[in-house]
Amino acid sequence: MIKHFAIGIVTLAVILSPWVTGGKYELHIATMVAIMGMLALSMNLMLRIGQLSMAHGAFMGLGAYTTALLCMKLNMPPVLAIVIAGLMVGLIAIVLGTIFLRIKGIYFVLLTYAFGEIINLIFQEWVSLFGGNNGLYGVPKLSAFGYRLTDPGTYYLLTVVFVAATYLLIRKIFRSNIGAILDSLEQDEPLSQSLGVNPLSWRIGVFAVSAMLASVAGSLYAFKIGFLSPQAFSFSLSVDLVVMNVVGGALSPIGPLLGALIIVPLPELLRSVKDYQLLCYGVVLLVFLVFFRDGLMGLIKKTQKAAI
Amino acid sequence: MTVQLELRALKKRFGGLTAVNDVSFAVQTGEIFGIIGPNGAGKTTLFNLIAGVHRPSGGSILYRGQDITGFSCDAVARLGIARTFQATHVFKTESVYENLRRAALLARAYNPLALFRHARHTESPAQDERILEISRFIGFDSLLHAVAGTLAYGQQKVLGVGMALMTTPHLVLMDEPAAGLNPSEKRMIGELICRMRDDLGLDIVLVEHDMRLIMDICNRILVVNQGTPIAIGTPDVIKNDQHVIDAYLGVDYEFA
Repeated sequence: MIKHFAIGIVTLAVILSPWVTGGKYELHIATMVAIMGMLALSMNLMLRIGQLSMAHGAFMGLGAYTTALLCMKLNMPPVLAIVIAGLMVGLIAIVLGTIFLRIKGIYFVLLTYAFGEIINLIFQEWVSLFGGNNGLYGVPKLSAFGYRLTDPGTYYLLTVVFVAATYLLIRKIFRSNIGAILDSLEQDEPLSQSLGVNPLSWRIGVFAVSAMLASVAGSLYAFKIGFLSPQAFSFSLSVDLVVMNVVGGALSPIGPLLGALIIVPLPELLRSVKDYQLLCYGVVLLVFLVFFRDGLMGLIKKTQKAAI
Repeated sequence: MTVQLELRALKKRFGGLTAVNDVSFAVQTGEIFGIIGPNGAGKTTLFNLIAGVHRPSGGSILYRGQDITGFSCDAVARLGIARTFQATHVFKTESVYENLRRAALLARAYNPLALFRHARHTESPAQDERILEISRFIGFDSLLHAVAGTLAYGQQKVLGVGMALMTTPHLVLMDEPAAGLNPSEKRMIGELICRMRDDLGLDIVLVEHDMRLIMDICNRILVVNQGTPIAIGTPDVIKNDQHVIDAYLGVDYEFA
């Protein structure tokens, strides 16, 4: 009871600190942590079904560009644009999934990587629509029900609401019958299939939900930054999402959030030792992969057990 | 008696090797049908063809008059044809109860849409009743909370049968149900299979090595050798068939 209370206080303090200190720069970093946390959670869904997707950067980009273009070219209300972009990306994932998800392991990684690169090339080369490498300028601010969200503090809280909702959704999924089905498929696919379940349809379902979450995170990113360039949605973003899961721990939905909390501000903290930034990054990743396979969450659980 | 499962000139080639060659038979209602043969005779391949693991190279499989040739494992299962495995296959970290519950869940929620369509059946008292019923049937009513991975090998195999029964099948395919069991466990599983036929009204097809078990419980037996059927009939007929004795059991073989 006291433990839960303490965790609640710390969480609230972490969430509110950038809002209270109120610096524009801190708020920007905090908003990015929330958006990346949402993306890391969507990647977590894929990792739980044993599939490493390198297409998530592209899904986020498709969500961001689609939302921005719907608002800019068609004057669509932003909320509607977010929903339409999400549904479109979900549909793309269903189509891709029916082809890609028949294959497990490295080939799925390669296929999603190729898809991500193709999408990124389209962003770069279709200049008249996406603005090419110069980027797409003039994305309007998010507005809903006649209210324009221009204050960075309010926008930060909105992204916190989204990441919290994503967290609760994923926790709910894994504690429900869906979680039991996905776990069964992971534990023993031949047995599960012999009982009547169709593994492909479940993987496609997870892929679609995961892609839709990435798309919504992309929409939030577009409204936050107001400017979109293809580099932000490259292959390395998908890798970052996997790193967040590895560092935080992929076995619980808190893991990717912790990962985002550490990885996103890291380049800012390491600015003074800029030359060694990538080196630090690599060393941290190696240490986690070799010594703490289950990430920080695994480490926390282990120390808890040792204490008892 | 009506035909439940029928194989017509079924063939399976792996490259140059013909593992199953022109196998035809029909399983009748209320029958335990055994398939035997020496190692490498093609029994397991034949089993996997019916279960949907492999796709036949030729011929056809009919179930209750419907052509099911080339159906996937899960499609076959959804028609009411359950299967058990030669090695133990259970969800090892879960309890016996959870294993049985998941079996019913996986059968019902075969894709995401089906889960929502059948949402109201989940956790219903009727399902709980069914879990208790099946656990009593397989003699597991005192083991419901045991973790499946901690059960003895033989018990895990019996749990596998219980999970197959949770899908409410009409026909059960059993891949060497007695493999790895001690004599008393073998007697027990033989008795369980007979009760599945007599009390639950199931049709059963089993592939088996254990001669005593197969002679004791099967109504009819198919003998395959090098992928080709060499005899079919009741245990008495098979015991006295000269082809079987020569080709498979050896000239000096004595039935125990």
